[in-house]
Amino acid sequence: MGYAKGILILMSINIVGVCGVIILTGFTGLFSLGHAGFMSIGAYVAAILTKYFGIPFLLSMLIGGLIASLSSLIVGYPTLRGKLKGDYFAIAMMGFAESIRLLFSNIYPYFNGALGLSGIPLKMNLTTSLIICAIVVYFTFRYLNSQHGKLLISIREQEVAAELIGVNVTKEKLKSLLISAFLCGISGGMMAFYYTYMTPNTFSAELSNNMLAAVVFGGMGSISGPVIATIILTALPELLRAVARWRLVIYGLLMIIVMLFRPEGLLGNKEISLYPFIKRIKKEKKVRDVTIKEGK
Amino acid sequence: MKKMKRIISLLLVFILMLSLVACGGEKKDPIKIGFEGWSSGADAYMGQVAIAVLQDYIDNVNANGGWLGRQVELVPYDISKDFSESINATNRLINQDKVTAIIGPDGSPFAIPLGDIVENAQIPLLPYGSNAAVTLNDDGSVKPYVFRACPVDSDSATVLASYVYKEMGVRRVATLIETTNAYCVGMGEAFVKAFTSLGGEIVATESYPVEEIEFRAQLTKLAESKPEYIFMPAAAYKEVGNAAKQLKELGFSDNIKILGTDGWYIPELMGIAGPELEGAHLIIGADMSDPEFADIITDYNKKHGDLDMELHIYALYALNALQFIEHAILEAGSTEGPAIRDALENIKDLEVSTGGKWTLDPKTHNPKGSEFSIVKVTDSQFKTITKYTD
Repeated sequence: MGYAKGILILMSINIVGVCGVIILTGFTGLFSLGHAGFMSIGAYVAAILTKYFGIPFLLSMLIGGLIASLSSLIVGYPTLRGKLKGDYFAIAMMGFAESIRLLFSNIYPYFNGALGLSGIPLKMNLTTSLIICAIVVYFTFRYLNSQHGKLLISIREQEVAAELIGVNVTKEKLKSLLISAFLCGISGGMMAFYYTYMTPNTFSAELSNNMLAAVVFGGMGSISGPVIATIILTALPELLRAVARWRLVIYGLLMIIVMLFRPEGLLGNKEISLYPFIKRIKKEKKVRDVTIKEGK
Repeated sequence: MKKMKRIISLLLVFILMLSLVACGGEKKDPIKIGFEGWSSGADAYMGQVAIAVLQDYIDNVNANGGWLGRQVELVPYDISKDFSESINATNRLINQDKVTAIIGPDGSPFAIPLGDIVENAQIPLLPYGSNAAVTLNDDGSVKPYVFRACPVDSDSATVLASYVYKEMGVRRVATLIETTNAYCVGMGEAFVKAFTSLGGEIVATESYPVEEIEFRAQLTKLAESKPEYIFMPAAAYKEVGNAAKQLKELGFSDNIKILGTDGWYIPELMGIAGPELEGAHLIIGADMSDPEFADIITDYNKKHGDLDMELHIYALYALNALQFIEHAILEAGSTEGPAIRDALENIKDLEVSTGGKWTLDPKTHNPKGSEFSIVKVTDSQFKTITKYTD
């Protein structure tokens, strides 16, 4: 497997996970420090189903995502109904992820505890991961630009006002958490089939932080922003290989610099899209056609 | 906006220049050896010391004409950020740098996923400091291109169990284990299995989460069942320091001592909790205060005193790996992956930097013939009391 290929696969795995965080944090405004927990569930379920029960990997990834999604109800229903938000929700999620990590560390049948699950078949190749990534990004885009997305934005901007005009805040938040957990579960499954080995510690708090960082770095309220940020943040440590031991220092420094100069993130709440370019090209062509006609 | 653009573009230029410097100076066709280790962040001492030691050895080789008449070049990469890094670094070493063999990584979770990658590329990988799954597949078959350059970690726990039972006459041991770390759990399992099969009794078991600093609750509970020793195979020496201090504070330290493994054989620990650890026993692959290491340590201190990091055993395991590769390349007379692999598999009685003559077992790719040292903490220092093999 080529070097560039490996990085591209990693990028698409990260983008799938980040899409989950975009929906929850970027658009619903719920900060979460625990998305690694959902990835962990998705990864373990998918890996176990394929390794021990021979279920095709795409199907088991889907099941992994669904189970991650269901498990988010356990923490989501009580916290969101209790209108937990801001730091409190973030910390509840962090607790959830930590307890998942400790739970998996101590289950030995199938999970193999802290020793880690090895011998997972390598299934993730460039084409599969790019296709999954493209589907997930398209889905996220369509979802957030639909009626559902508009409701989520209204909750993010002014929760009380949203409730007053009749938005069922708890239900919408819960829906966004379910989808978010599902996408993270899928991302975890992809990771399992790419790494072929994992321990509960693979899904540490750092992973959650990285995903949250990508969303904040790319711009809350944008989809293309965090996706671009994920690409940059995945590639950057590799580009910095030349500076050896100062690599992670420079990595951190670059993030600080960007956040200082653009506190709203790379794109803020705007989107980069090819549409304006296409429009402009069409327009220019039209103008050219007209001038050519007139010239005749 | 303009200012920011200027700063960012300056930074980018700076980075690009650095990478040019790194790429430049291409000598004609050197043999490249890859290295993966933690050389930034909290565990930077692991990788940086190893790189220094390996570079010294390679400089020495080059001064004497290199291998097969070719110069040798070390390509070190940092993998501190997360688990994905060892895969990326390995891909890069194989595809971009075209290395002949790879040393490292030093953590099992980093090394285990690499088996398939190096097998496809036919590049030998020699991780050091890791558990059994590194060289073996689930079904017990050996990974053809992965060779271990250090003893299997659980072996040392087995040997320690037989030492404390047979030589020290200990019958009651309690365990204090971090349950989320593969190294700690593996060590704990091996020790318990060996100790109970000899007839010893594990009187109590407690656990703690990673980076714990408060052990009083667990220690009090363990002390209730009156063990003679507490077996604590921690991977982080600070945890042992805290546990030992609190054991003394609680007043148990006269009757209960600590047993350990090479995971916390780090000289810095003596600065944290030297007096409190008095009487603790641990087992290690090689003792750094042994006179046979005096030369290499003085040499290292002279050249790398400015690093401000002490030479440790894992750096020497990395050096063992390099010596394996050197032997295999010279033996095979070629730098082709399959030839080196075959030569590695046939290594017999090779003298390595940690002492002893090592033979690789073709069935498991683990070295045989490594000696273990039993170390006792005396006067705030690690003192080897004996060499022991089961």
